Amino acid sequence: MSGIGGPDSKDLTKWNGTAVASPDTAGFPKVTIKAGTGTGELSLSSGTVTVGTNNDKTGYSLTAGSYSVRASNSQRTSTSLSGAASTTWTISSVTTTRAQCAHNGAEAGTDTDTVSSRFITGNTLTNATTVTVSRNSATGTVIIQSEVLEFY
Amino acid sequence: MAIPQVTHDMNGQQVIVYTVPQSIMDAAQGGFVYLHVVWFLRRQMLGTTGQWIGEWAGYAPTPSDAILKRQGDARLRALDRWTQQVQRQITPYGAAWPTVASAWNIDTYEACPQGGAVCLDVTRFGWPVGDHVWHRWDDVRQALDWPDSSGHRFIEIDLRSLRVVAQQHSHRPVRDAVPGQKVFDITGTMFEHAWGGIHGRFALMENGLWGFDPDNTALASGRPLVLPSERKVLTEARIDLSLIGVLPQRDVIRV
Repeated sequence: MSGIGGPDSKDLTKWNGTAVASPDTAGFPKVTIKAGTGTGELSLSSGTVTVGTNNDKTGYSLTAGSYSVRASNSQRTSTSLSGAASTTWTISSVTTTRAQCAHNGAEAGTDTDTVSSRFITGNTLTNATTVTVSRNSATGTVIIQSEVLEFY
Repeated sequence: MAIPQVTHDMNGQQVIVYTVPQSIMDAAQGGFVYLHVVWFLRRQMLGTTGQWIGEWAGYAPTPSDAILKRQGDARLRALDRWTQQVQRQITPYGAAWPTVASAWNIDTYEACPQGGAVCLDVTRFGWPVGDHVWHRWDDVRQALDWPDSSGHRFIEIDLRSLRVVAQQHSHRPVRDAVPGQKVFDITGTMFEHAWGGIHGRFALMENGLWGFDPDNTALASGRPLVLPSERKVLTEARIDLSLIGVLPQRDVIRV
């Protein structure tokens, strides 16, 4: 084995039949990057490397169990029934298996009965997005306040 | 956007639900799993802290067995890294994975600097995509929150009688679900001040303008159904034309 400058050292003047370009810095071969957007290519523009837009806005990500949430989510609703025996209205979607619907008050007009439970015959989470309440034969208007609770 | 699905309630009435059905979760191809993620700003920006950026639901590559076999904190850490890798390729302009639904605030997304957001896996809630829009992220306590200030108030109107069917308060959007009834978000309008006492109907007044005709019923206790203060707000409120615009003209009531 010989050292640099020895009998086995090579001083390349041509590569593939073409004169080797003079280096910008001694000892560093001058290389032209193949431009393009394919494999092994770099996208070049006006002599500079074009850096793609960095869309990674996120500093960190957390899965369920890695962060905390409130233990419940509640929705308050109210309605007034005038004559109709029942009515259905809309709520934010809930998962019915962990949601509860309860009325927390009712008051009737032109009826001296002040026991709210006598006015309401039904207060149901009909499905994931609706609540249905029904009333008895109490005369006049009945106001019903209903609350939907969802637990985690 | 939430995914509306028509179904029937226990009375046979047609209703629309927005929950994510099991069939959509089960539709994940081999090697993929249903995932719902939401992004929030981590720090104050645009005048607020922890603001919602966007949501995406779709089918992401299933975590490797090496991750799934782990337990406890190691499992959570590995899943966090997996979520980070998966969400990196989801933007408002496209995703590397099959998308089921997405919703974005483009302005907030564009204003967010690199590393300025946190991404949360919210699949377990089962809420429609877009439901976290008013929620907040507490970056100090690492908590997803729906504080009182995030609540919105709504009214639901029967489109035939123009009567207010219900008044709702929720920390998530209330989307139309009962045919013939329409939900309006009244947060920030004059009507919000009378919320809880909005009993009555929308009507075309004698002056030719839309107005609100409060119910005159008195309750058994003697209290009027609509309190004088509420009545003043309701009758003097300027009706948002976008609110009235959807109401059928043929059912206009003249008072």
